[in-house]
Amino acid sequence: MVGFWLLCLMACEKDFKVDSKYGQNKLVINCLFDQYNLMNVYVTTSYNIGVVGNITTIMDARVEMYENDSLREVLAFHPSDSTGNFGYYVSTWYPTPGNKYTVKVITSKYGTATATDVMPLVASCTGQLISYPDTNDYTRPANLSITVTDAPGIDNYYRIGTYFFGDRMQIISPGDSVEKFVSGGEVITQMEGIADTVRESYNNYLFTDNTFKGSTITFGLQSSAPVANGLFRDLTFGVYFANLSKAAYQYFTTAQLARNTHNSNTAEPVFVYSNINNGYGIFCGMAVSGPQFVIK
Amino acid sequence: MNLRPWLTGFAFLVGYSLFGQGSVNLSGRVIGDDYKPLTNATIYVSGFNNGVSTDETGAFILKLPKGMQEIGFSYIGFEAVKLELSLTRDTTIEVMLKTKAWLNEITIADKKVIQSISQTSEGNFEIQKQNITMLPNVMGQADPVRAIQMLPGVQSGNEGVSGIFIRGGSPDQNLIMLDGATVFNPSHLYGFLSVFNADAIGSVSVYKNSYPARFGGRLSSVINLHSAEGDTGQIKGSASIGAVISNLHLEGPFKNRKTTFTISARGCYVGLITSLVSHIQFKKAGYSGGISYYFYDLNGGITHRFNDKNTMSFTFFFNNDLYSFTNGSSYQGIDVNQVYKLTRKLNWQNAVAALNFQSKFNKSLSLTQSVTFTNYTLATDINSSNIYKEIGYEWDQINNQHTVSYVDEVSSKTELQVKPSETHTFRGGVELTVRHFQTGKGSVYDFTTNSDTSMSFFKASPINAADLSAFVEYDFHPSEKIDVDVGLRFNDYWVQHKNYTAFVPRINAVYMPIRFFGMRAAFASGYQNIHMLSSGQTSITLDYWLPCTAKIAPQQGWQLSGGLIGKLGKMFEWSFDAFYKRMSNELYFKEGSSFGTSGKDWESTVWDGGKGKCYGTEFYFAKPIGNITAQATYTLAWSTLKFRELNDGMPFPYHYDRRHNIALMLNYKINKHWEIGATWVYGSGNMYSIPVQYIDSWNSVAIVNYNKQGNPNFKPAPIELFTQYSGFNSYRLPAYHHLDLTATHRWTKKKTEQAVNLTIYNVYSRQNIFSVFLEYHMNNDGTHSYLLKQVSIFPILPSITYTVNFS
Repeated sequence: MVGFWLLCLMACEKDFKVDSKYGQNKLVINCLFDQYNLMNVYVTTSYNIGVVGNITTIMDARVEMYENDSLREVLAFHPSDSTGNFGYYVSTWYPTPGNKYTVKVITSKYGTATATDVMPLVASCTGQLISYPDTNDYTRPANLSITVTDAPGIDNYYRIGTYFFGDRMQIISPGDSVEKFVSGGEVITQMEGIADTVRESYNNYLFTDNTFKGSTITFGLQSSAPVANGLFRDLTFGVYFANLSKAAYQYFTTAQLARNTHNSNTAEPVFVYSNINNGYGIFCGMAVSGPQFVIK
Repeated sequence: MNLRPWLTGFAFLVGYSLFGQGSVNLSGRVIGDDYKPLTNATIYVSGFNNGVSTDETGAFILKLPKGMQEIGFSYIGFEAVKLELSLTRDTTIEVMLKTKAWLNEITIADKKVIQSISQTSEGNFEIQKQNITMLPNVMGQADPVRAIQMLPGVQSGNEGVSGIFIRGGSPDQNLIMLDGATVFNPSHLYGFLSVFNADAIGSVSVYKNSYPARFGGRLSSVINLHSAEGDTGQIKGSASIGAVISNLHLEGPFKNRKTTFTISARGCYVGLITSLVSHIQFKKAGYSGGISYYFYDLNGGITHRFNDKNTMSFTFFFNNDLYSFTNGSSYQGIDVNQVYKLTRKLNWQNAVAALNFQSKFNKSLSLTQSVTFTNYTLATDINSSNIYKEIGYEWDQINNQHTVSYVDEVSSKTELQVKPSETHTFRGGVELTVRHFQTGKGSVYDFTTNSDTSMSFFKASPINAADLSAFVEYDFHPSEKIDVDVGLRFNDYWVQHKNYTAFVPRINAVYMPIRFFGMRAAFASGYQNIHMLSSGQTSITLDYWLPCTAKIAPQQGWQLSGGLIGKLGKMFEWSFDAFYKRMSNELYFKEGSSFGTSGKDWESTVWDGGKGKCYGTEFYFAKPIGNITAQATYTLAWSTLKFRELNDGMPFPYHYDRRHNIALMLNYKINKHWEIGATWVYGSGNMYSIPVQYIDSWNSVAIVNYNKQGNPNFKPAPIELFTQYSGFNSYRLPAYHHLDLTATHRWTKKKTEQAVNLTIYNVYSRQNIFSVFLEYHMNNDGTHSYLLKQVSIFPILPSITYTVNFS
């Protein structure tokens, strides 16, 4: 009897077959646009759970971009390059804050997927650099005071981050150096005065205007920052501030939640937000602003 | 028909009083041949469409015309008795019914159709010990909860899901009591076997249509288990030895026979097998370790009858379950040795004690008082160590986490019953319950070579809560055709300086225009000041009992139900019921959240204020008497939840939304030596959010470059993969079903009754789902995949048990 039990208890794990009605692959559209960049639309497909796959760009799609409900352009395909960038469909113009954009992706195999979003207006964000690391105390964070004026009458969603760029001396070999443009994001270590922040893995914070609707708010911000020493010819330290569409905010917050709970077998499922009709992914806009400080 | 062969009871007159000119009162008690009172036994009078049933103490009262009367007494599982009594004045009798000899024919069950069977006319169920033991057992264990799960409207959880699900409600919405004391977790082995030892249980009352106002604090149902009293005749017992579980039961009287005792103990050592099997499996995969599971439980009780009017009983129950998972790996290289080990332990226990005192002042007035205590504790231990050694260097990393959560409940209840006549019964009382919650406390130990060693302790703020309830009930029973129960319960709940009050009315009406057909309707409202949070994932669940707080309001709900009930011939009975239930202030985990290990800030991990809706129909058909007994139930039901914050505010299926439930039971008593039986249960799969596709995402979250003008320049970030779900709780897992067969052979030898039982659980080895989990694979060639895996834990399981009953 015990031997029979041993046999019975073996091999109780097997693959779970998902119902075939959920097995249809769909188009995946990823596009995040702002006023400073051409519109890049990445088009791929989803994969069934249980299928080994590799991200493959769909190169023969017709990608129509509409601005305020009028066809603005059929986007041309920009192939992948040797640096590892994936192929994408790109516009020849920059989107305008306040305008409505619709993307329509037509394929012969996966049908047509569409998405619409309105790019928010640029929000007022000013700031003061209160203190900054120096060579005597390079571990000290940058301290800033940020003032945001919230547009009245609507729900607003924001994203804030810090960055730097400048020409930096790069030592190639002893006695030989060259100036090179470098840039990067910094890590916000503390936000004071904002209630409903969500921290992203990429060092930005998301928040809403729930506690200061239609008014001006000033809050403190601490961030890591590169030290302006002799290696930099110019160093600009800045605050990246984006007024997000609601779709962008929902996508960023749920995607972050999915990152936080990845591989957890006790956490509740996370539904990453998507606004793609007949497909997956995200098509959303944001208007970028924020103060910059030149560090000498 | 000659009734004499079945007239094995005895009656004796113990009192007389003059009553009226044309009628007298006949009162008394019905007991079994083990001297235990029989609850809901039927007493009927030949020639009259009149009858009553006994109460919890076996007592009854009948108003009858003076003169010669033929009176029948029946009870399922016992031989019926008919007495001819010449009634000239008020009379009190005691009737003993003998355990039914299965070859005998039941002849009088049709006299009082409804109350002679396990389903009462109100749509509730009375399950006796015989009903429990005739079902195929599991691992040699008869299980009261398995008998409950065969009832219409009752669903078992899938394997791995503990608790009982009634009419679409969650497990915490059932008030499960042992002699009046709450039992928070009724499951061993995650629902595979209940914690209730059949040897220790005398009967079970299940209220799901309309539970009386004397019960409160839950929304769906009341399941009241009554401990068996000890035998008053002699000391006797039983012992059984099975492949993985063994039992010992003793009962009997003390010297004066006014005091009896029972004690039952049970131990499970299935871990000896599982640890061996899993160790082999792990070793094949290149790991060490294994999985083990053990439990034991202990039931006991003492009953003392001071006299015919006063009885006191004390019962207790304790169980302890321990699940352990150990996984380790090691690497042995040249001059290098690395050992990794992970241990997870899960331990849960119930401790229950109940002191009950019953007084009968006279024929119409009785008082019941009880004091109960319950503790439920859940403890987890997660220990990991990573030891790295090379010549001249050692690096160790050790992390140990220990967490305990528990709830203590102390309750006192006083209940007065006034029954001036058979037509009117009044009942009223008060109940005070105090609970103490510790949602999480424990310690974390961290050690890393060349770093500071840390030992930290955490403790969530305990929460104390108090429930004060008062209730009144009125039962109007003017004739056999009409029975109306009306009740009202008031509850005042204090927690964290906040006060919640609730008035919950209940009404239940039965109309039986003809002897074999009736109809019923019920309305019941309820409140619930306590929640149980379970993970919505299909992995192993951890159940945490949590109080309603100043922030989280009590659950409220109401249910409307109605149905038809009847009998076909003398042998078959049937019923049809429909129900509609609404619930509010439901809780649900937020997306991505979990209870965590510390139990702190749990309120921030849930959405509250949800609304629930359940509705459906239930069919019941049974042949409850004879050598062949059978039962078939079918439930068709829907259950949805709605939260403003979830699923875009749209309703979504509850996990427990089982569309179809079927339970079939067949039992055949071949002769006095052999008995065989079979059960088959089927349930639609539970509803879950299952990932069905995965997608890529890039260029959408990272800001990696700025141009010289200071404008962001988005570049593709590392690829992220996100899973896409079928929809919120919209994927129905495969159906759950299994067939179980049992055969028992009994014989007598040297004053002992012995039996061997062979049970085969899940005969066709259906791989019912215990857990579904997602695996991610990143391959060396850059390809990747997500795989869904399912785990089934109970394939075909034969068990053999040898039992000896001695006295």
